[in-house]
Amino acid sequence: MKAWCVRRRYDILFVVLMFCVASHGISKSYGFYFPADEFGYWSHAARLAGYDWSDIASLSSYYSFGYSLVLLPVFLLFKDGVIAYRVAMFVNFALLAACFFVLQKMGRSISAFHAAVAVFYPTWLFYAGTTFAEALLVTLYIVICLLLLKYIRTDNKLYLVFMFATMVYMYIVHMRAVGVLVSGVIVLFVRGFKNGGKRVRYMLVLLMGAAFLLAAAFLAKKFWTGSLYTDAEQVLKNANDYAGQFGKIAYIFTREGFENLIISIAGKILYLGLSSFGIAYFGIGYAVKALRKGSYVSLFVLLSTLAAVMISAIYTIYPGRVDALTYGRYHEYVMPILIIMGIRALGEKALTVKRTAGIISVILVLEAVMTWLVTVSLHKNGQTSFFGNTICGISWLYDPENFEPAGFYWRAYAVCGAMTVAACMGVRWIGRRKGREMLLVILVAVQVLNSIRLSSMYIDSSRLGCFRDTIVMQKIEELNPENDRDVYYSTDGEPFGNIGILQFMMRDTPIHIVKAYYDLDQYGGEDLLLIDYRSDQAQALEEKFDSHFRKGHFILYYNE
Amino acid sequence: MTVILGRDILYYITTSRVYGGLIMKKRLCGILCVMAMLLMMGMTVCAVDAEKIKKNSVLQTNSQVELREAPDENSAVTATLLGGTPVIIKEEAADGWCKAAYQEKEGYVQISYLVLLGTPIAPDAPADTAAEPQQTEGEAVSQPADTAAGPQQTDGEAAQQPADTAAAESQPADTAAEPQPADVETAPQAADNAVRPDRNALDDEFKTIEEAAIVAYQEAETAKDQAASEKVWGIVIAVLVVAIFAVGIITTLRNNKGKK
Repeated sequence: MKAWCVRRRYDILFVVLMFCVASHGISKSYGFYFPADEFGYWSHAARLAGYDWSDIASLSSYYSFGYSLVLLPVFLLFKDGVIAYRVAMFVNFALLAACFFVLQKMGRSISAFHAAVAVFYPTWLFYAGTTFAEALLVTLYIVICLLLLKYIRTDNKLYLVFMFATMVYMYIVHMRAVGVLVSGVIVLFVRGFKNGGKRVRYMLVLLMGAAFLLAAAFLAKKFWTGSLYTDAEQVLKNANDYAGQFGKIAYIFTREGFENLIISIAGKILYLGLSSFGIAYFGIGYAVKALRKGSYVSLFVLLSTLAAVMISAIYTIYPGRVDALTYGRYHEYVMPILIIMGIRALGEKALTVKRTAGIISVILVLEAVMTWLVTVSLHKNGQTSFFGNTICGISWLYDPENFEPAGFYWRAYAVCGAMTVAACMGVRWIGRRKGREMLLVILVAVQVLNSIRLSSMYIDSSRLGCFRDTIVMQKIEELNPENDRDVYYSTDGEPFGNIGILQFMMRDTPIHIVKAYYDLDQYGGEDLLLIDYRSDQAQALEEKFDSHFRKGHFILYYNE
Repeated sequence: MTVILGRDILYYITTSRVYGGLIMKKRLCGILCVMAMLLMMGMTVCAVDAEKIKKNSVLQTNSQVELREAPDENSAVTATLLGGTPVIIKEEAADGWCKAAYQEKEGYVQISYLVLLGTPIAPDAPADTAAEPQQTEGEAVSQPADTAAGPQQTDGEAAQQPADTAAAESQPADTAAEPQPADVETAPQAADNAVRPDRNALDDEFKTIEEAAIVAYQEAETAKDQAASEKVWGIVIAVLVVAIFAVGIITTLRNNKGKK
């Protein structure tokens, strides 16, 4: 035992560190950070557990149900909403800890420090503190890479079967992972054709299996849309679906659309470099180099990265928000593999100081050009709204008091550029000798600090609102101890609002929706009516009901 | 409280033989009504279940109670809380006691003295007016012992009350006879009627403010706990990072030594 502990000392320490990072913000968690998205995932789990939240679910767009399968046991085991949410957070961190071990399984040269730099990437730590599907997606991507590697090394078909199953599951978790599925199929077919016809037959059988699984997934989706999103408007339902993307693909074929696509792609590539302090670019270079030597894993990584960047670029092609230009959330699940590859590339002996400095200079020039392209779009379209949570790799530099969109990107370029020089040169120096590896913990510490800053910037503000919403929930429970009074929510004001938080907290009390203002005349008596705190119905309802309770995101009207 | 009222009633029953008449009967009825109300309130002022006492929840005391240094009736008193005082629970209940805090004072309180927030408390116990009724109670308790003083005090009260009652009773008659004085007499009543809804509104407003203050206090306490928790975890994270670094250095030094 002692020998095992000594041998795995870094693993133990990093897992404990992961646990501590998880615990750091846990006491503040009372509910959703992004109500619509997170409620979407939980509502599937609730449906499977026999709860009917269809009224609230119909207010938001369709969310895939893959992550809900992970949330379901948590939902069933923990009746208290706050505790269930916190446990789900810990599950996310456990997934990241699993990534740490899976990455080390990919090669003997990958040490605990390399894996830690990849796993402690601030975005993962940030998203693991919510019930977003990001932690699961990155885990699945790493597992797919490992299975592919194992299959290529051993030719064991079991790995292939698991790989296909994992790719289909990843697609079910989020449709943006379609690029991973397509890349996996391409790589396996290329390998099959190259190495003989027998393997192609295997591939066809597996492809049929994957097609069967996908068909099952489509049927399941149909079931969800039929049972959970019953009253959702078609446009709303399609927002996260292929049907909602057709217009964007058609837009690419216009001149303006094509220009926007180029800028959008540049933004996504820029984000990969800035958020990883340039290491991801070295990773891409390493993959290209390995591809020349016939590495199928590198081909898979390159294809899936390209697909992820393209999907992200098309999804955010319409000029809308400042962050959408570099929108990282949709393509940064490839980051851990690129970081691992980048660290390996920087550790190669062929990479001299001069050569490294030359590559870094090229990277900085390219990044400057891409930043300029992004700022051109900003000046042209005048975007001002900013959602920092979609670009966590750089939004820790966001200063709400002095925010100027173009200035923000130039500052990100300057700071991350300086970090690129320091990190790449540092990692290169560390990679020269084995005894210097522990210095990588400095990079891990910077990442942890950035993730804590991100949490305090974006999540903490919403957590106070969630905490206040729990008080509204307590008030409803106090007024409705027997659960025999109907609870309604008027959608006037916000289309979705934060009502999902309350529904999640009060799982046994279905909240019904009142969609139109004039419908409110029908309610009174024993009914409990909730409205958004910004709603202009407040004055009229104060006259209609005996009492009201204003807290958090809601005003609750009731008769004593 | 019930004991005190019971003594009052007995006292009035005995004294009613001396004073007799309608006035004393009315007074007796009044006290019986108050008793009935208190009994009804008493049904709601029962202590909260131990299971419902959770950390950081806010409850209120159902009567005057002492916060003690330890969960023991003989331990030192850290603060005396009046009935209706909101307290924040610092630790969950154990053995009939739980740790609670009011403003900056902390201590253990018996859970039988805690009720849910908003539970009606006997009118002689609210936090801001409790001092005076308590003194009255003290006097009332001493009354039977001080038999000489008892009737005198009762006289004083009785003298006042009939006067009020008489004025109230004579009002309709006066109104009928003399419109002018009736106006004068009814004016306070009218004013009183006008004031009543305002008082209710004021009560509601105070209730709302009190609720908001309690929630704000709860929020502040929770935020304090969260900040403390974050600070601790932050330190642990820093220590761990340093530990990993130190372990790395020690390993390298050992390996180098081994090679040599």
